[in-house]
Amino acid sequence: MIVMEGLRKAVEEWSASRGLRPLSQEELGLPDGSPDMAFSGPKGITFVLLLGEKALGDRRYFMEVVMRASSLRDKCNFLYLAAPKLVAPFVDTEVLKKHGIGLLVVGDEGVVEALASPYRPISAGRQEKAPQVSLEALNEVLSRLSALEERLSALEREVLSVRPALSELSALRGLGEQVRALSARLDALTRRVDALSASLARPTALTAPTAPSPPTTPPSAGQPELEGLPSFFKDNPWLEILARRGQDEVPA
Amino acid sequence: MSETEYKRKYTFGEDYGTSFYKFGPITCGERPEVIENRGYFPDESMIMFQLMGRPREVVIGDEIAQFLGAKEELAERLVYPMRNGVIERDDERAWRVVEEITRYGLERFRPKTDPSFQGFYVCASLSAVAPRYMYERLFDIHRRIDEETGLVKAVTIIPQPLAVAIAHKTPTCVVIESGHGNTQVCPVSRYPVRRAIVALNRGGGDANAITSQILYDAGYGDLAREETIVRMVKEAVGLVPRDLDEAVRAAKAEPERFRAVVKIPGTRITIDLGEESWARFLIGEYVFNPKHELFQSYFSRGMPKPKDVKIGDVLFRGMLDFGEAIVEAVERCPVELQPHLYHKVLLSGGNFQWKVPPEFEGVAVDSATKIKLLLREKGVEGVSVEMAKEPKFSVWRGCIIYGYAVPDRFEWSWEHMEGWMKFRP
Repeated sequence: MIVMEGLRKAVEEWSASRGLRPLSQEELGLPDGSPDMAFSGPKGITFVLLLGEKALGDRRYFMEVVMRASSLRDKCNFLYLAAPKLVAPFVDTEVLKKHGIGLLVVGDEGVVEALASPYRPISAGRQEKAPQVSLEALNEVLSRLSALEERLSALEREVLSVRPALSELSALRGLGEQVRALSARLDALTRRVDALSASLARPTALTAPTAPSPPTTPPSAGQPELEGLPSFFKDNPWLEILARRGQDEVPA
Repeated sequence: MSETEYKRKYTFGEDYGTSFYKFGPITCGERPEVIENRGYFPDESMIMFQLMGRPREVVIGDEIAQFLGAKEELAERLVYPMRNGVIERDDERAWRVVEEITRYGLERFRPKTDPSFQGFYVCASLSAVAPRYMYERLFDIHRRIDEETGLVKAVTIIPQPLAVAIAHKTPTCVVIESGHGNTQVCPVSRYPVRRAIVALNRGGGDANAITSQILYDAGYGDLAREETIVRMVKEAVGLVPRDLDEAVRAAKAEPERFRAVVKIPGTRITIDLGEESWARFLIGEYVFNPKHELFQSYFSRGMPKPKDVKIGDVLFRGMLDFGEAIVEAVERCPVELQPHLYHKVLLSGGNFQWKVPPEFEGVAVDSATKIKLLLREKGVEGVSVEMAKEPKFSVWRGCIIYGYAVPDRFEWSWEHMEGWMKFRP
């Protein structure tokens, strides 16, 4: 079992290994609430909140840690929850990701960064009030709105004039489908021609004309089209049968 | 890029087996990727989920291990959607698992950087007895995935026996696919002959049931309830007899020679059937022919008899022996086709993996021989029966060949149940 002190120590080692310097509460200067641990590094300020094994059974405790994390997100560049391995499977990383919180999993083998915290700029404060909207600005918005309305009407007129051309285009679409069908048939024919030329090229076919031929012509192993394909393609009569699907056969 | 060139890279096979989902593109080569065909529905009332928001509704793959709790909970939360080969129309949890597994499989092979990629040609395979609504649901699932991810250019669905026949390069044959829950007998003659399919409500699970009863009779009542142990015992000592009466007589005459002893690895448990060792022949016989009179005493003591059941629109027969099932399926086909069908019977699925230890040759037989013997009893001679090679992957291989070879222009037809279904304009 990892107690809070163990968690704290492991996170300290992890941060030190990354060149992060611990920050004291005074340095942070956060009167409304502070993280369990804070560090400063070349990329910015990192906060860490410790989630003890108590979270497994104590709903209130867990809620408090999550709320604290959420309230601190705009006061640091990186924010992590550090949890023991036992607790980690119960933490939904998708939700953490959504809120920009990373997850450090602490086990016997040390700290694993299971989910990286994304960088977020520190908020300058939300004290400033919304600016007053002046009459001038309002008039300007209204005039821009009427200009937009005019442009919209012009566009509608354009669309109406283009409609006949569109119906002509849809007739052309049918032509495209025919071209595609022809191209597919050409593919099938190429396959069959390849199969035939390969079988003609085989000397055995010439020297043993009296041998009974199989009902279908399987593609040859040496057929260039099948080179590099898995072995179950080799001499498989189904290739020929399936290539004709939709042409001349119907199932029983 | 021509259609052929494109398909050489982006044909994708999906085999929804009873226990495993085998999937992957043509570029996987000889073997696909495999994950268990199951999903876990986490308990949403857990405190973490209440605080941190809803977790994923269903968990699949290796991640399931992190969620598994008490045994009692498993039956309720762990869903094997294809356990019977057929998913009920309104079994929404099973369909959720199928969707999640399908999405996982396709995402796993999304090409990193290929501007020419427009989605896979997906060929999925379902049980031969899957009703039409299963096809509709599976198409819907692929349509949704394509809308979200753009990973499906076209999709088709073929019955598993057709895929087996394709993988074994046999255009005319009878395929018997026997899994955990049921068995399908499907004649194939360039197309699956759908009206001739015979479905049996019997599979590997029934061999487990009789093994459990045998363990109980041998004094291992506590272990008879452990599914894993029962399966291990079945695989270790179960034998298919050439003739059940003769095999039992031989085993009773020479009990030491036929003695069945199993050591469960990693435990202190050793199971010795002792004087009941003759019963090891019942395990294999029960799969092939449960009508033998020796089984009556088991039924009368409460072992459930395989019943005729209707799942979806399909009637699964309980007590038909495998020989009868093949004859019935073949005789539903045109007479002139029948000799060609008997000429090649392909056995596929885990329920045909019976070993014949050299010391029991003559008394015990393999599955192919047993099928031949059953057919001979029905007056069918000169049958060629073959075990599918690498049965675990043959359906996926058949899917890959089908997806590669069937032209893109052949659109899906509900009348013929073949062709490519496309969702994009």
